[in-house]
Amino acid sequence: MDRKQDAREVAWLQAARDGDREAFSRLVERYQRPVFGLCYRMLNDAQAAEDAAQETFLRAYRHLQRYDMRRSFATWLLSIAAHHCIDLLRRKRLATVSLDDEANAWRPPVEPGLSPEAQVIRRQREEQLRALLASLSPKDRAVVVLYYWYDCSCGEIASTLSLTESAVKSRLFRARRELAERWLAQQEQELPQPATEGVGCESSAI
Amino acid sequence: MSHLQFERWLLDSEGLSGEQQRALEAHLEACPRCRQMQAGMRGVEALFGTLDLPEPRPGFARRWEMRLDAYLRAERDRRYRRQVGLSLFVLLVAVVGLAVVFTLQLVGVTAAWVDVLVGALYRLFAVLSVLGAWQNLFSILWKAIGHWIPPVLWGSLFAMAGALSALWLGWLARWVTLSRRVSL
Repeated sequence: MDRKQDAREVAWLQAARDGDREAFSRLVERYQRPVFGLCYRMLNDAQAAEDAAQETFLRAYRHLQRYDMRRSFATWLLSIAAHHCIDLLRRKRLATVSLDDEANAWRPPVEPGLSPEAQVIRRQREEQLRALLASLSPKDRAVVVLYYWYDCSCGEIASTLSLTESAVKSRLFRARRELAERWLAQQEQELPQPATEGVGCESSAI
Repeated sequence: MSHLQFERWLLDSEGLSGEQQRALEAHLEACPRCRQMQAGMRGVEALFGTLDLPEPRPGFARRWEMRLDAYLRAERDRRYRRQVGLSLFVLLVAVVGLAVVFTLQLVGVTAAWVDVLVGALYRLFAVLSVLGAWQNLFSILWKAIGHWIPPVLWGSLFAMAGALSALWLGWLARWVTLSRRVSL
């Protein structure tokens, strides 16, 4: 996502701050995808993500006067969305929705050009990703999503999530280890392998 | 070097120097567990790379505008309710204020009654002091008369008063007896 603000965006922001709803609607159109994407990756449910993304834009609209124009608007929006999703996950524990809810939940459509086999593979990957991200704490999940899908640096993530940079690095490290272990466990469940001999690492392996 | 250090290098977000990279590769050749961790991390990152961010349903901005309308309507209603509440509060304060003023006026009337009472008491004390003065006067006269009238005359006067009292009591008893008989 491009986090640099062009002149047109600055003009929309200024107009929106002066009460122009149309200008803010243009900002909604521009940022709907990254905000919805973050909410979807965080909440693992398209309907909840839609609500969270709508709420994010509403909060941004209400507090637009507090927005510092020197900061990136995209980062500010993502910060609102991430905090809102973290609060939702902590309060409602959306990560542990029932299987019925999961089955009935609306999901974003896959690309129309994909073959049925490719669509099935994509669905499987989405499920795999859903299970991986669900194993992380809300804040670790936000760190991972911002790092991998938004190309945010640790400093930007720290600024977005109100953390220190070292805390972000620590969370990222912990999350990656958890994800790697989960991924390996998923692979073992899918393809049962014979027990490996000698697995383990001596502290003085080298 | 500890195993944890290699694990950190594997999972860390920062790049490694050439020497660190070589040490890590040597460690990976000897350590199956770290190789597994590396494979796991590569698998995760490959999975992440294949899945883009999903798009919202079409019409997201229009739905947001509807939501904004609903929010603004609710906010207007809330402001209206707040104004009505504030008006009622002001009315309540006015009523309480009027009640306080009325009560104070009532207390003013009560204060006049107190004045009347104090005045009456003042007059009562004045009357009592006049009576006290008369009592003093009569006591002086009594003493003077007491010294002027001889004791024999005093004795005669008390005897006459006693006889008159006895007569009066006798007449009273007779009258009560006659009244009972008439009523029977």
